[in-house]
Amino acid sequence: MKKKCTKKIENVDLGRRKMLSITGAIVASTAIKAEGMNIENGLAFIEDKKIPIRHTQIVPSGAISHNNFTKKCTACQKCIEACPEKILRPSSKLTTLMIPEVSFEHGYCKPDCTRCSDVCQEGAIVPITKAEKSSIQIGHAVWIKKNCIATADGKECDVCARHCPAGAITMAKAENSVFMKIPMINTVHCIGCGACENSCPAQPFCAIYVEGHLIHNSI
Amino acid sequence: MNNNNNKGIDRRSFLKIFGGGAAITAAAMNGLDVNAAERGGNASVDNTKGKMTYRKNKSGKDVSILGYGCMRWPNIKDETGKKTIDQETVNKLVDYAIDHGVNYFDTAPAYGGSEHATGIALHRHPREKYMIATKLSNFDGGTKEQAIEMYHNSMKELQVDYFDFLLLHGIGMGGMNSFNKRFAENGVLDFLLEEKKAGRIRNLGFSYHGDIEVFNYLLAQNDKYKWDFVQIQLNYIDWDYANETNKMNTDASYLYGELTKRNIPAVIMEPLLGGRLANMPDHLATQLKQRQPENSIASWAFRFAGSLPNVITVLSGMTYMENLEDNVKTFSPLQPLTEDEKSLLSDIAKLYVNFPQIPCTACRYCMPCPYGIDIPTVFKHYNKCISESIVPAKNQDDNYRKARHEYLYGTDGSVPKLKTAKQCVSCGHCLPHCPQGIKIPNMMQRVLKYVADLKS
Repeated sequence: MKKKCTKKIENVDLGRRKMLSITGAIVASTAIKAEGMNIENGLAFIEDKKIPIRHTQIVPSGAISHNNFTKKCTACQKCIEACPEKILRPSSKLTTLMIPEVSFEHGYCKPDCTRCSDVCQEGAIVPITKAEKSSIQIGHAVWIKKNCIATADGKECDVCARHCPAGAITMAKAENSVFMKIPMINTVHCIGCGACENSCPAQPFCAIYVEGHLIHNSI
Repeated sequence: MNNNNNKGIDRRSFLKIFGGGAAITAAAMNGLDVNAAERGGNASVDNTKGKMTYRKNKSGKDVSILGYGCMRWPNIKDETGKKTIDQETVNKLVDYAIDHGVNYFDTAPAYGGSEHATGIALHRHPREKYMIATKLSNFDGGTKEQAIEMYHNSMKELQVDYFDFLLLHGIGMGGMNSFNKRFAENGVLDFLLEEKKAGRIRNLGFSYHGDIEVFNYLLAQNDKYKWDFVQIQLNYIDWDYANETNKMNTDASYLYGELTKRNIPAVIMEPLLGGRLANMPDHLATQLKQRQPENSIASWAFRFAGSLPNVITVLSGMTYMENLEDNVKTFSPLQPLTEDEKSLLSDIAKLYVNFPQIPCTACRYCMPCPYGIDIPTVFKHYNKCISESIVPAKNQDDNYRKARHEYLYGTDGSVPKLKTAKQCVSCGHCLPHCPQGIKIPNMMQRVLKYVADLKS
């Protein structure tokens, strides 16, 4: 029985089979690619921003430090309700359940807003003025080369630099590089507001994001 | 066997075809962009563990090239509003450092509670995991007994029965007179040499600031004292431009050369000039970023100091976890500077010395001021104003710029944070204490003139 089977296969036209499978693969992949560029009503398909993997979480300006924030926060949700930019949200992690978390998919921490520090009555976010806020560094921006439009796609882009309220990002060309201008962050002016992360058009992961600081520094 | 070979389509060619198809599909899904497959949610994973660079001291012990400077531990305000060292955070920082191979911890009795906090944090680790460097900070001279009491108190605070490294603190400040008074005439140096013989001091050295005569004298006496190491201030500004700040300061290239000639290992302090080499004006910062877009500005200064072969450790006063992480990354392992990079730093140094900041490293040795001026805070704020003044207005958001100006200059431009400079009566009490040789009263005048000019 087995032998018979083998004989049958021997007679198959190999060239035809190979061609079919390669063509099949190409047709299938082209279909997938077309779907990826799904153009609806003349607008390009935009994926939802994915949350970057932060080594250290961000706590809002006025929180002083992670220690202070986590010790005093009662998870009352007042700051979350007050935040006009929707960057504060209740944590879903078991260890920090319902404690506010900061992320910039929907907005960034506006330099002229101190709403969360105004409403907190527990001392987890102490009251600060706009002037004080301009000097509080809650984190610093980090550039991710592999995600950047300039380095990965070879297209010119300066969105992060244009949106940085503190003027901490300079666009310049890396030396000995064929790439376009890339963002160069002078951390000393960066307050970690997340305007760069929020505005970055790279998707689904942005090419510039904020790493939180355990203790807030003053710049 | 024969049977297998005669199959119309064998396993290998099937895989080849299928695999090729899969690759095409994968590429198409990603818009034919090969890089896209690697895109992800963060810049890099922490893979620095176990890669620290080590140097050997005179007796062949491994010293991590990154040394922990314990002068700048983070503070916390207690219930009464008083500032104390944040022990919980200190423990976290020390744990991270030891976990990543840092084994040199530098402190001193003069660092306001640092020995105590450092002792608590280190005592939680096995003694062979860390080496302690502390100093004899008998700045006011005094008797041999007082010095010995200070020495034993350091042992108590640090919870150890021997010191890996002990330094005569701040040699050169106050010239030969001060050295003779503190160490020679009262027999304190003899006591330290005996302790070394007894094995309670494993390495004896001194930290140097100020008058070069004392440095030269102590090195000339090397046959007698057999210095195991010397701590000097070294960075790419001080290498050639130390005397731009003060005619009394000596270029680090000379200090390092003298030590190397005598085979005395160097421990480096102020590799970042009190953090100022991480705080570069934009046009200089961009030049460094252009060479190494993914490395920090500070990493250049650390690589400069670490690239010198006779350096056993580079001290960094790391207050914040992000500084510690960045420095661990720089030294795990150390990438020595190329000749090309060295010449870039030398060009940067030439431009940086003209930048009109006050070269204060916030060591606070000048404090307390008899007239109540918080000298380091005034200078720090002044430096912030100078640094901010060169950020082009068009690069900043109007709202941010307004708030920032209010923070720096006050609503009426009176710069409230600088106003205590007015209280300076030029008594000169602070002058002999400044290791950087800053003419503090003159600088207070400069600050006042700056405020006056802002208003006009």
